[in-house]
Amino acid sequence: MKLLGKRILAGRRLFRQALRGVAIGPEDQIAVVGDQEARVFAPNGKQLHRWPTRLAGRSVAFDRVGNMLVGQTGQIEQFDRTGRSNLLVDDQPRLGRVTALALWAESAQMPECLLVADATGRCLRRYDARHAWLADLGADNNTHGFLIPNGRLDFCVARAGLGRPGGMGAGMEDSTDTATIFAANPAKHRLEQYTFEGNLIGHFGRFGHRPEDFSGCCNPISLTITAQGELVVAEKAPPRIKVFDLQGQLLAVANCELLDPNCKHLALASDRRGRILVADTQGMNLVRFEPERQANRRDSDAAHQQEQVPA
Amino acid sequence: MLARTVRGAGVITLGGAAAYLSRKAEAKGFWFIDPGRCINSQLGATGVDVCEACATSCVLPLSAVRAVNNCAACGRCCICPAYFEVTSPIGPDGLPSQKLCPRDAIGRKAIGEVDPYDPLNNFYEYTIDENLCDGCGRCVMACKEPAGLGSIRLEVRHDRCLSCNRCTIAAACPEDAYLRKPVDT
Repeated sequence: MKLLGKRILAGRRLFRQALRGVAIGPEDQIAVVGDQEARVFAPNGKQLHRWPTRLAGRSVAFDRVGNMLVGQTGQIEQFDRTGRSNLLVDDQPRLGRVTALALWAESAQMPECLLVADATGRCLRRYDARHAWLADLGADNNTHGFLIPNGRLDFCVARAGLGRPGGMGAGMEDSTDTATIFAANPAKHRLEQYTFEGNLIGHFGRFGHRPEDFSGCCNPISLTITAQGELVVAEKAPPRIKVFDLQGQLLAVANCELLDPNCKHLALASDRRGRILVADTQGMNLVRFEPERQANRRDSDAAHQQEQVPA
Repeated sequence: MLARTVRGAGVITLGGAAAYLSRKAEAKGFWFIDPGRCINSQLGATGVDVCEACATSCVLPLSAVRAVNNCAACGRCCICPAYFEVTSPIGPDGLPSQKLCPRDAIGRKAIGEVDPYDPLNNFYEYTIDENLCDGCGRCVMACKEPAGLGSIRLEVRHDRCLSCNRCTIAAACPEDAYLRKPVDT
């Protein structure tokens, strides 16, 4: 599979000092956080909102009804569609820098619980539907947490039924009936799979020079999952995107000439059509990748529609 | 006799003045390396060759420049790009088979709760032996962001530096990163 990249919101530096997170909402709106504000764009690139955040935003996510959550240090701020904000979670001093977050519910009828990547504590934290702390995940290995020299921890949730857990470890359980969490462990050069109870059930990836390996000091740095169940992983130095299936098989690699080679972190998001959005935190712009066949079909449809328009 | 005495007094006076001025000049400044200009540590300079001017241009047999690791900024990674040559073939332990430093000046030891079975599961403290390091800058370049965390940089060791007025390293530095700073700043 070949990935084609295109810079969107081109020519615009999104923030002055730092672009830190990106997310795609239920209506394909694009949210980015950086400096001390959050900006929301329509899929066509038109800016819809620009709201100041209480603290520097480090991550962003949407809930199922379109409220935007911004992860900060020690707290998570929620914005409704009108921009009204409230503190959803205020968990200092336990909660540190929130570098990734996601909402999750077992079914559409159940309320969403909150999963948070705490880069200060180097673990994932789970909050219930009332946003009370429940448990920590990944904190009980011998290094007392994930090894994140870059200072960012990232994860994504794979819903049930997407695929079998994969990896090179032995003795893994088949957990296709339940959702699992994939987290990047950069200094260990692998992706790790956890249950919601915090049990490590699998991992894949290793340090090496093959296309499916993770090279350099501390890679992979971030990840997301597409609606089709593909894991998208970002690496730095030089920046590149890799797509794996849930068994750890490499599907595609994109060496990103569109991204700044000095980029230390790439924030990732994916929309309903499986297109990948990459936030270049160094160049402070967004690049969208999609499979070549999908891009060609989209361009062909657009050209066909143009032909249909009467003169 | 008188002329000889006057000549002698003049030589002593001139010599004394020269020594005084030299000491005064020395006391006024010291050499240092600006990490923002040094090509090895300069952000944004990716894909360039390592500059070894500090190691090769000093008048001393072993340069007065040393690589120094800021442990507070160090990530303590297992696969450190300044310790290992990360592009070298992978060894049976899953780690790169070659070290980066040509003089083997960088050492490491596992710290904290050590996992004897999985080196990737440990934190490591990295130290640089200043009796071996010659300031070649390779570790500095390898540690530089974005590949590393930029915790290593080159510094002038003033107990070794002769504080030459016309420093040969400063003359050779392609980026004018080797500067003289007044003592009182």
